[in-house]
Amino acid sequence: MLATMLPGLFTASATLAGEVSQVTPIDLGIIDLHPSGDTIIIAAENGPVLATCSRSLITGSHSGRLLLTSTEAEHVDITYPLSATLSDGTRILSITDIPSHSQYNLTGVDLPGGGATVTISIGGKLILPGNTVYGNYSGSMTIQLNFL
Amino acid sequence: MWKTRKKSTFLASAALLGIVALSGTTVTAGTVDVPITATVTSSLVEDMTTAMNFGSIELIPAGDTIVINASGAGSGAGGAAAVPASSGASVVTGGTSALITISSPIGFDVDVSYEVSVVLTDGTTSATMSLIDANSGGGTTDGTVTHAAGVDTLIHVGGSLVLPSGATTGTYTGSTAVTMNYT
Repeated sequence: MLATMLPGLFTASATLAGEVSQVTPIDLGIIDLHPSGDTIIIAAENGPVLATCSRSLITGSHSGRLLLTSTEAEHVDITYPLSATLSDGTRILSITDIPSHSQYNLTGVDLPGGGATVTISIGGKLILPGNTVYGNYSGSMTIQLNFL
Repeated sequence: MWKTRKKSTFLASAALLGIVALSGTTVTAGTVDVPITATVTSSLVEDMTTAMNFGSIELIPAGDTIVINASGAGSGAGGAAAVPASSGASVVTGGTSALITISSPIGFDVDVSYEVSVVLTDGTTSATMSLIDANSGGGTTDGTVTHAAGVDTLIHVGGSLVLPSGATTGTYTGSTAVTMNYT
């Protein structure tokens, strides 16, 4: 940080605080749904994971991920949405419990600075009833980051 | 790529003899959108493998009851071969039970329900097939069949066809619904 300090002058300088260097989507994978339905969970509160369920078959899933970097040591508060919607263009599915299945939900995370990277894993829960219409569903969630 | 900046502001005052006061850092906030995808599919296959056929019936004059008793043919994984039709005294050739094949890499239970009776008709005259549940896989009443993951489940379906004396000769057709509820 560089500031010019001269008597009688009002100066300011800006410094890079933090940066999201990479966003990895949440992929619930290809869900071969049990005929009576199932609940798909990505429990990423402790780090990157695959999706789990009780009786369907899931392939190709992974939790979402943010990579944060900063030049200075600082704290980042993370606010997740409670839910997000997925759509196949006609029908809607809801992914819920995002905060409880995502990392650093209540604590936030400390960035060490110096360009070091911190990974934040993101998950959620998707309830699929037995009559879920098959298809490709997509959507997004908005996560708020406060650099302190 | 989303970035944020924060500003640090410094105040300097000649009135304070050049002492610099740090006013504090400005909190910076931002949002980032994370895409989400899911593909929901099913590899469950229900196949009407073989249609039920009471065969060619050379009916005795007094009438007869033609039965396809597939209740013992088994269900679930594997199962036995199709069951031919039988009668009291008439001559039946070519009859066979129906076969439904369920395929899935996922294991589950299937509650099977049958209609009480259905009507076959040649367009003019009708004949009633009944006792479907008693003569079909899944037990003597509507029953549950366990589907093992990755193994075809076979459900044999039969019934009882009553042909009265003087039944009109002809080809009788119809259909019966078999309801499968997966749990």
